[in-house]
Amino acid sequence: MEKIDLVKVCQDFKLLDFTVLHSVSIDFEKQKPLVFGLVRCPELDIVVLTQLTDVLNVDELHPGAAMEPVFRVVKRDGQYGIVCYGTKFRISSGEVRV
Amino acid sequence: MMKVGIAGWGTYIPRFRISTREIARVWGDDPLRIRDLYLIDEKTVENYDEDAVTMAVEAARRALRRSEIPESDIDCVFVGTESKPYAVKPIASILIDALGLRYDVQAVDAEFACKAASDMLILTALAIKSGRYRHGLVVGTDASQGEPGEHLDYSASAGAVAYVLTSSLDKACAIIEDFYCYCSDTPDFWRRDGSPFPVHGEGFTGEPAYFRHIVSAARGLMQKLNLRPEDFDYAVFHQPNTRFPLRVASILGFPIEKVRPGIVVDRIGNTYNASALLGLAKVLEIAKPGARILVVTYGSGAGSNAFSIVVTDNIERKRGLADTLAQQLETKIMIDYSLNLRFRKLIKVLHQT
Repeated sequence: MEKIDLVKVCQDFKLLDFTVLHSVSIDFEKQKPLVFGLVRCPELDIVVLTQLTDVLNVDELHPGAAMEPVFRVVKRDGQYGIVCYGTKFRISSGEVRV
Repeated sequence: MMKVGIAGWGTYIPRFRISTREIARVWGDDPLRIRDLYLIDEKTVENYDEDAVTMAVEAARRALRRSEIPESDIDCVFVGTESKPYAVKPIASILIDALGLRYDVQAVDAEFACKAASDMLILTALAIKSGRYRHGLVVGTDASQGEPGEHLDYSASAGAVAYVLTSSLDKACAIIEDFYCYCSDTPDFWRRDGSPFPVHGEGFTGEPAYFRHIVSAARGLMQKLNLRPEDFDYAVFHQPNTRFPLRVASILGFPIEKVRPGIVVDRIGNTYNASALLGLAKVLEIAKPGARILVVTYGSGAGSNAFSIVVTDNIERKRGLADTLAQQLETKIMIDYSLNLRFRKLIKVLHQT
C-alpha cells in the first residue's frame, strides 16, 4: 500500500473556479444541483477539487472568495445503509450576504 | 468543591434559518400569536448533508482549538444526543477518527432527552477529579425532530456545542465549582422507538416537568454551595422557547439582565442537547474574569443538572482562538418552508440518498 502523508488542513482557502451540475448520478439526485470547485490553500500550495456546500445562490461564489473546510455527509447508502462522511468546502462567514 | 477546568468551548449552528412567521404562513397560524407564544423569531435548519455527527465534529474542532490541548492528550469522548443518525453506531467513535484523537480513549454516546450532554460533563469532571483522566471532550449535538404543523415545528432546530475539560487549571478559561442533579419519572415528552416525531404528555409539561426540575436543581446547588442569586452574574437555563427560561429565572429570583445574555433560542430555536450549553458559550464570549455563572440544563423524562461555573483570567485570550457563536448567529441564509422540508428529508420519496 502506498504511503500517505497526513497534513494539517489549513483554514484559509481561496476559490479558484467552480461549476454547477444539474444532471447527477442516481446517488445524488436528491441533492441537486451539485456544485464543485477548485480551492487553493496558499499556505500549503495545494489545490483541491471538492464539493461545495451551503450554496443557495451561486452568484455568491466568485474566484478569490474565501473558503473553509466543513465536515459533511457525502452520501447515504439508502435508508438503512452506511453514512459516508467527508470534507466539503463552503464560503467563509465573511462572504455570506446576510 | 469540584474545581475542574473548562479549557475550551466550541459551537456550531447551521447557516440555514427559517422564520416562525414563514412556518405560520404555511400552516395558517397567526404569526403574532405564535411569536407571543414562543418568543422565537427564527430557527436553524440543517442542510441536507448535515446531521448530529457533522455538527458535533465542527463544534469539537473549535473547542479543541480553543482549549490549546493537543488532540493526542484527550482521554475520553462523550456525546449527548437524542437524534443520532444511527440507532446503533455511536457518534463518539466517528469523532475519534474525524478529529484525529487517540484510539485508547473511552468513547460513548448518552441519551437523556436534552440533558445527556450535561450528564457527560459531570461524568468527565468526576473522572478528571478522580485522577483517572487528564482531559476530556464532551459534545452536545442534535438535529431534532418536530412534526410539521405541530408545536415543535416552530422550535425544534439543529446545533452542537463542545467543551474540553481539563485537570490543568492553568489552562482553564472557567472552573466548574460544583454540580447538583434532580431527576424523577415525569412523562412530559418522549419518542418511541421507530416513531419519526416525539410527542408531549400535555398534562405533564411545564410545571411538573421543566419548572419543578430546574427550580429544584438550581435551589439544591445554591443551598449546597451557600450561594444566592445575587452571587451569580449570569444565569443560563434550558431553552425550549424564550418564555420558559425567563419565567424560571423569575421564580428563582434572578433579574432578567442576568438571563438575557445567555438566551439563544429566540434566534436559533431549541437545539436540545446543545440548548443551555450554547447559552453558556454565549455568556463565555462576554463574561469578565471572576464572573460566576449558573447553568441549569433540563431533559424530558425528566431531570435537571445545575452547575456553578467561575470564569478565569484566560477567558479574554481564549475567545479569539476559534469562531464565536456571535459570528455564527450573524451568518445566516433564510429559506422558505419547502426547502426546510427538503433539507430535513420530510418529503416522502422512494430514493432518499
